[in-house]
Amino acid sequence: MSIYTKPTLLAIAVFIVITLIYSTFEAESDGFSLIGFPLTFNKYTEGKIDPSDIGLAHIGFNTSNFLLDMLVLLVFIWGFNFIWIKFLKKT
Amino acid sequence: MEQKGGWTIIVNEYGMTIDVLLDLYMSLCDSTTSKKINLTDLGKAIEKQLKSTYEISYDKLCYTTGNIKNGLDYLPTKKYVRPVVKHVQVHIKLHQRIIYHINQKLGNEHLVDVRDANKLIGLYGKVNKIGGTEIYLKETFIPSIIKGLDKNTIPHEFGHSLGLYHVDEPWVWIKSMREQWNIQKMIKNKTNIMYGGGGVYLNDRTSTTITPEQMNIIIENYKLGRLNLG
Repeated sequence: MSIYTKPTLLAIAVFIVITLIYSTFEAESDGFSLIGFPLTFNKYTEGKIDPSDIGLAHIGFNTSNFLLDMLVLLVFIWGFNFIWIKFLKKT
Repeated sequence: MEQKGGWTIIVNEYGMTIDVLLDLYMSLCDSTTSKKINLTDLGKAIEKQLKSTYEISYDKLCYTTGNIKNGLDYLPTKKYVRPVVKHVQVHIKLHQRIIYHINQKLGNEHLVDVRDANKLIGLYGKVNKIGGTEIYLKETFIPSIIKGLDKNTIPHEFGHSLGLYHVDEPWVWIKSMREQWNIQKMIKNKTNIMYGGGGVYLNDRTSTTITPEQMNIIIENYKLGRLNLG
């Protein structure tokens, strides 16, 4: 299947918007900021961290979740291109 | 100003003195499963620590305007602006009550909610948002707060509730230019409460002070409706 620029850019834009909607930004008030859709790939805080359960908090960048999110982005791109070719390009 | 939440800030000027009253209505709740937290002692510790941190006095440069009236010399009436140093005295007044479930919180109150350790994994405590009305504290750290070993967490979280940001975070200037401190300012104010978790000067026992500038920001936040945000 050919990849077109317009649906690809639209898919990336939609994915970024969904990621932002699903993210939480509480780091400035000592909570966690969670970024990523559907899986959180970055978690950080500006607050005091409890050293006793720092391992459980999974703070930082999560590479496997990021790669899975990128896989979802590829599905988005494929889906948008599919719709573009199947329905919109003909019209 | 309509009172939407717990903080009311009253500023009264008497001649060369400015009296600032930080008035807070708040409720304390123990949402832990064990229900072993002594909320009366926690309330006393909160009052003691907030008074210790926020009841400050300082001199503030103000400007007064007046008129020089024309007299027999036929000079026209002139307006003048004169710099005046006024003494600011801050007081804090807390109205606390203990509730047994967060649903009992009244609309105009702040909530201090003690939570189980597994509900605040990795954290000491947090505020629902900058200028928010809900402060969550981790059960594990309550004994050290009551004993006075941790004198930072309570004033720090209430600082967020008063609209203050961390002074040492790299992107603070986007939201509040005056709260982005440089190294010199940090060295000068090593005991400030608003250092973030990664701050080199953050210390549970000694990070207990605020600066006059931060107090002015708090007053400004109240006037601009940035407090009691729900």
